[in-house]
Amino acid sequence: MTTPKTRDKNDSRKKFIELFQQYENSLNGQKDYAGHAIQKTAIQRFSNDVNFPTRRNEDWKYTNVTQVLQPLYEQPKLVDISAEEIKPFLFEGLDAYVLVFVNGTYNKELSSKEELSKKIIVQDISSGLQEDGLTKATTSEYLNKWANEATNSFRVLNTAFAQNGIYIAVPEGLELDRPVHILNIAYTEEATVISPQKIIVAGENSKITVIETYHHLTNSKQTYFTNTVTQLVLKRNAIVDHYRIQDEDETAYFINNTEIEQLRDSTYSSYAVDLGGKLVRNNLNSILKDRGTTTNFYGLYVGVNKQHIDNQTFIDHAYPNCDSNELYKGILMDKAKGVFNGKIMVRQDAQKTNAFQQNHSLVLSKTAKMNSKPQLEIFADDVKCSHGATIGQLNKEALYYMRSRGLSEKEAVSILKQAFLTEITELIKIDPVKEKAEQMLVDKFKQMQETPVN
Amino acid sequence: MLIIKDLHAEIEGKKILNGIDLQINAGEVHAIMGPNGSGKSTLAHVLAGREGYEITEGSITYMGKDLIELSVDERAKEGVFQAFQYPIEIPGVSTANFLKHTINAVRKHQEKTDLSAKEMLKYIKEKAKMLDMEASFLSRSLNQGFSGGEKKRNEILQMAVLEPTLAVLDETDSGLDIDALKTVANGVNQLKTKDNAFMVITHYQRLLDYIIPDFVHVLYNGQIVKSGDKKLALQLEEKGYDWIKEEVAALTTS
Repeated sequence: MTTPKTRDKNDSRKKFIELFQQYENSLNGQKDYAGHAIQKTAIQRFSNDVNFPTRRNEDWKYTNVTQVLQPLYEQPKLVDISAEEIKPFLFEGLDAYVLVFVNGTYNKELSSKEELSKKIIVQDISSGLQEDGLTKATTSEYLNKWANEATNSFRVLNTAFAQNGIYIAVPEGLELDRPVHILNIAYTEEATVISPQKIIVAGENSKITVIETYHHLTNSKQTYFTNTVTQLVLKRNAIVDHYRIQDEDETAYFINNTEIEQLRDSTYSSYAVDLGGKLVRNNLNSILKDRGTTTNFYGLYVGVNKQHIDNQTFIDHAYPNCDSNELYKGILMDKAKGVFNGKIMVRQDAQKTNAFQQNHSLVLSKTAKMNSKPQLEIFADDVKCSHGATIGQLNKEALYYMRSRGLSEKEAVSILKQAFLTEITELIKIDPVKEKAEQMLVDKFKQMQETPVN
Repeated sequence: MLIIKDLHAEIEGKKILNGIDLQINAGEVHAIMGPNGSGKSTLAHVLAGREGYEITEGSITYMGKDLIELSVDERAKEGVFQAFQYPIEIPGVSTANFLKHTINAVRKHQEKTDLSAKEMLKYIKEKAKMLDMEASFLSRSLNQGFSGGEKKRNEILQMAVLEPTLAVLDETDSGLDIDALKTVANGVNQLKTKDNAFMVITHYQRLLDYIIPDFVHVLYNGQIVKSGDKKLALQLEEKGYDWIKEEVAALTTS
């Protein structure tokens, strides 16, 4: 196995294929485990039929992944992290079941698995694949689907490289007493590809709150690349609140693939906060598989320096009487770029659909940029749908008003920025999560330079 | 406290103030009246430091300082307050939170320590009570969805908590019914001390029944053309502004 000396930019696939070979060689005796066959299928498909997207692809028009694929990534090294080190990332005052991922690998020692296992099924995917019964059926169903059918190259890549993901199943009728906090920590010295994988199934009439957070422990000069897959399945009448707070290193690449399958009368709500990362791409798709569902997508993003934050959402209304609600708000400063591409499909059978979508951004410097593209495709006739997007600056009248009461320009700007995002933060139902998100915003705004008011 | 000398100001090249002379001493209430377009609001904006107004001649001295050299927020911290004719709605900032920020900004300038959360709330609630404002007001976004009367009362509340030295009330009476007018006037009267002063800009004499002015000035074409005591306001109420305009015309032609 030789490491290529030159990096052809057309050769990003080859780099990952070679990395996979390297990884395989290191496996020794573990090759017969069930997950390995799936990984091999994924890399095979990756080398044969899947291409990384280019800007010619309409969904990637504003996000160029060339820089993400440039480095020669390594598979994550095993690192030890103490309970002390994860403390700053926990929510103060929140009693939650904590599941920890270090560099994309589920870490049993740091997780409250035992306690949680008394209530619901929690299993690492690699063991789950070797069990009998539903855990095996479900995990292998999704992994095989991603390996064999996924068209999203990053999902296929995740399937090939994911080390040890997690499978969570909430039994029928259970309302989990506490939120599950899935804490993802990047702790890397070298250019590393991190591939967390999560499959969460909420049974009929069950209820669960999942909080995914993404943090980093070192300010390494080397970039890393988090390529994460989260699959959620909501059975009939299930309710899932799904929070995601992303605070990766500003040198990191973050590609997030979250897909939700909703069955009849289920309610899924996503609350996404994107603050970190050099290039961030969130793919959030909800497939509505029956009638009576509710889908809420809420998100906020703040970009400074040269950050690039891209939110792609897709809600596929294929059945009648489904509601979807979407609101994304963000602030871009310096040379940051934002993208919002929200697609809502209302198919012919999806009568009595209510679908609302809004995206509002503040662009606070001449060099910052926002591309917003709300897309609504309606093939049914008895529906209520609306969408809208605005891109603006801080209200000068409001700034003057605040200054006339003794606030400095800097204070007034900071209050107005925070206020702009309040519409999203106030939707967060768990106070400790809301408070932490608000504090993170305050810290982020402090990091921003003086805002020129033009 | 405030000495305005030969003040000329224009906006986008259009001359609005054409030589205003006015002195306000501590403990005084001055009413500024005048027909539409005479420059009343411009005077208020120039005192508060609003952008877009260019001062071409003259001076404004406040507490011995050159007011024109101070930025908007510096003026506020030094005790100049303008109650807006059209208060701005600020979604996402609660009234209480906004008041808290402004109170601490001014206190910091006065080298006082920040109030604790408890003291702050008590202080704000006391002032709100004085203006017959319910506490629920405080948790609402600043001015958002407030009625005209509520917005004006909120202006007076801000004035009450900041305890300014010089308060400029820009048509605070417009859009108020008689009860709200009384409440607002009552609030102003309670805030009056021998150390502060008020400039009350109004179209109508009505407000001056409740806030008794020591001086009434008539502004016309950007100049103070007539000054008197509260009787002048009654005269204006009765006869309108035409006789003033005629007097000015006679003066300029002679």
